Amino acid sequence: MKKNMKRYFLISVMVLGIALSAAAQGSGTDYPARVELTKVQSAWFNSANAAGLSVDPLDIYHELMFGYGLGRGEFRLQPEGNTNILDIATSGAAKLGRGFVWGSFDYKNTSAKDTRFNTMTLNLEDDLPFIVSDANVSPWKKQRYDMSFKAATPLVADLVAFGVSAKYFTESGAKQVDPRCTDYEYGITVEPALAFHFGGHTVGLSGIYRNGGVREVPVNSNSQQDQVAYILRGLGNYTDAVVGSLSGISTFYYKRNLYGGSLQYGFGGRGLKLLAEGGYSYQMVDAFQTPTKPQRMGSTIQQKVFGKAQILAESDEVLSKITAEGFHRTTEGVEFLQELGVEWQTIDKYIRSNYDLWHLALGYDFFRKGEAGYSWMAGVKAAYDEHNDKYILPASSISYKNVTGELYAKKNFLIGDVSVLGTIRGAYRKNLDGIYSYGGPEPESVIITEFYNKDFEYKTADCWKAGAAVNVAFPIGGRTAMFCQLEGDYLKPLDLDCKRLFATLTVGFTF
Amino acid sequence: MKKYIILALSLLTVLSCTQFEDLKGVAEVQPLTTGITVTANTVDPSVPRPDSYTVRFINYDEKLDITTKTDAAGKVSVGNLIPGRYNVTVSAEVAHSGFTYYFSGTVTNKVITNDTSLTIDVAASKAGALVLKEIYFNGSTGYYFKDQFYEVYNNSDDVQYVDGLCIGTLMPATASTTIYNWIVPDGHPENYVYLGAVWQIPGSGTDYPVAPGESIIIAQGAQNHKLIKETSPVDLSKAEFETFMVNQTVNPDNPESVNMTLKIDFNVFGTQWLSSVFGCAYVIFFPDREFDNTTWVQPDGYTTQAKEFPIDCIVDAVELVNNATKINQKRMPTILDAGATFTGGTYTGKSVSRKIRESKNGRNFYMDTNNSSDDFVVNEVAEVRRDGAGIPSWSPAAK
Repeated sequence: MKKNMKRYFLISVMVLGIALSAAAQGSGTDYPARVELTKVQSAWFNSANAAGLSVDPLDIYHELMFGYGLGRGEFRLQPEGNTNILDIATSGAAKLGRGFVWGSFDYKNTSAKDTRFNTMTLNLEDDLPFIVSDANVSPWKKQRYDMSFKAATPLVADLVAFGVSAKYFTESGAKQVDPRCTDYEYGITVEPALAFHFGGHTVGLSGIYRNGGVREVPVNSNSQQDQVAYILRGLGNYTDAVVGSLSGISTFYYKRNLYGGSLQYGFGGRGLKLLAEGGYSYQMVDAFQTPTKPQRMGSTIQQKVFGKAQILAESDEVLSKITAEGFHRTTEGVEFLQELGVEWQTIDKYIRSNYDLWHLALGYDFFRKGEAGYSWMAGVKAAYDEHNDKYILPASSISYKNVTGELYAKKNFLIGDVSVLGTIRGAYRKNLDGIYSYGGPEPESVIITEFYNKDFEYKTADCWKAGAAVNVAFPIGGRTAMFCQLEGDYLKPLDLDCKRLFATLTVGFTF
Repeated sequence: MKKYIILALSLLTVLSCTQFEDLKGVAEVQPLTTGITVTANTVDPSVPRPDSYTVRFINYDEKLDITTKTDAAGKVSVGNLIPGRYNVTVSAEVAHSGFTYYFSGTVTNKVITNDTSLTIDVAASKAGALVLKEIYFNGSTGYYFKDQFYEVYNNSDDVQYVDGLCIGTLMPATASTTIYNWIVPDGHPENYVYLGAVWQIPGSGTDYPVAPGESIIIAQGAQNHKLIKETSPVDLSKAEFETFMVNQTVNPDNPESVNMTLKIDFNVFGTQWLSSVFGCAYVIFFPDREFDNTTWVQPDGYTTQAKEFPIDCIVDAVELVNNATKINQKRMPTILDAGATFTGGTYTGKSVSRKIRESKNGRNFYMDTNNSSDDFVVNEVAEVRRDGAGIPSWSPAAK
């Protein structure tokens, strides 16, 4: 599998590099600020409907980036740890005949230290509780490949365009201290779409299907010492387990399927673009143990209603964009009562937990256009999140509400043909309300005292964040610019004695 | 190519539809109530009945442990139960004619998914005189297991003779998800335990007296294991008895220690008696019949062989499992041991031993409620004659 991943990576980089280099023609330099502005300008690119790109395409662009980032500090979720991330990413948009294509590839290699309470899960989800946990401090190593693709046909009969988005990722990883694991995960998403265009109006229809799978194999390096583990079931409730010996937990595996669809309405004319969309998705994830004798460890049923609106007003000099989006996600956690005969038989099944999340966000961005894309920009964002999770029997609950405000500004200094893009940003998160009530049988367990209580503190802390970035880009021939970007953010809660620092250095090319 | 893509997508669609159908209509969990009626139909009418019985509902998966008492008629209603698998134990203690009688009854692995009622018939037994006080089955670091030992203690006020006493292990040797439905000639498999290994202490009947408060040590090998393996916690060179395998020269015989006789060997292999380091289900008993190795019983559908012995013969029983997750995989009839104990690991040098119920006149009386979950504690280091158990005068340890 590792060889296959390397092959995917090399092939993808080569293909994208060759294709995109060939496309690098024309005058002017594609500075990073220009690429950034291009992505903002296309409302349909930022929607679920790829067919809409036929009427609102991106400008042609290409980029290739090599980044190295780190996260340090204790103001974080317990399983996160201190992270180092190597990131190689490329993306580009191009015309293909009269149609339009966009693609991206991203490789991430993550090393995390001092993680806790995640024994086997590559990607933790707050509404998927059926995972294995342990209290040992451990490093994790992961690598992930993401590929995305959007394509749109030209308008057929000047009326309808067809489009499709596809995403595929594959990830592997391993925990480094007993109880440890080796993991593999994949996910594929396909979103076919239609867009009907008449006058300045566009009506879109898109569907979504997602399929995913995870395989987690527990193991101990020291076979003489069983390791205590906990099979989590939600909100701090768990079943005792061990990793090791004859009685240890076996391979966990997960199956994921999601269906959904959304409708879009767009309007464009006289420097004004409007795009509104709304949709619904239904997802089910089943967790099992022991592939040769499958035992159901739990299932989740997730329903999500979402909406998004974008309004863009653009002239030759300025661009204003308002974005409003939100979703309501409800997830039911189902547990199974089973008994073992020749195989595990389900006697009964119950909804044991609920996870409810409201997310609303509103943003405004203003760009003053300039020679290297834009000369300056400023923006503001506000978000509201409300979590209401409960474990039904024995009764436990976690609920909290946060509002977050963020301000940011960028100034692009063009010195000769060198673009120096400086960014400053600041954010503040205010907790409006929060309570964690555990009614289970083990309130003194480390799962409560060290894991859930501390994660809850992190999630409900008032905190501020400040950051800055500088991006220096210069042309190296044709439309190609080479850039180097250094950015950093500092995160500090008001009432907790901890902090978090993020820093990333990126070198790349835009063309 | 297009054909394969369409085929793959169709297959994924069908599979995901099956997944969605599987959870259609699933409802929220609701608390349940179960009514309990305790009867004592088989208990000698001359033994007085207790005023009430203690009823305990244990759901190991949910860590739910509810204890309540019945009324004088033996009835109680227990609410707030989470649907699941329960061990329900009923117990009471009555002093009568100088003896303590233990009333006990159990329903094991009872699946409760609706409001329901259960009738539990209890049996009564006098407190056991001989008990398994400490069991060191775990082995020590370096995969060393030859230092296993079993301590049998006289928990009564009378001298007990251990001549003829047997120690045996039930099948399967390790707690397992495999369920054995034993087939026995009389059609009542619930009346027996199924032994894969049995060792017997020799003697005429009065050779090996054990006074109140004294104990004997049964060693796998009666050697000073601290000298053989530095990680071993025990010196068993003065053990009263050892399970020495004849016709082998790998393990030495200690002439000071009395060799026990291997009576049942369906689950004894190699050059020593290794009881599983993951935890066996142990019994001590005085057999009510001659041993016959030429006949055996088997579980339905399996080739495993074992010898059946009536549970009436059993003097004491202890269920040991790998860890807490295996308590539901008990092998021992719950009338003998309603629970189970464990050390949680292998080759750790740990042991399990009985809790002290009371100390009187310098002598300890150990808990023996026929529930190992309650009666035992885990010791970080195994120890011979913990808490000052007495040494029989004829023991090599007394010399």
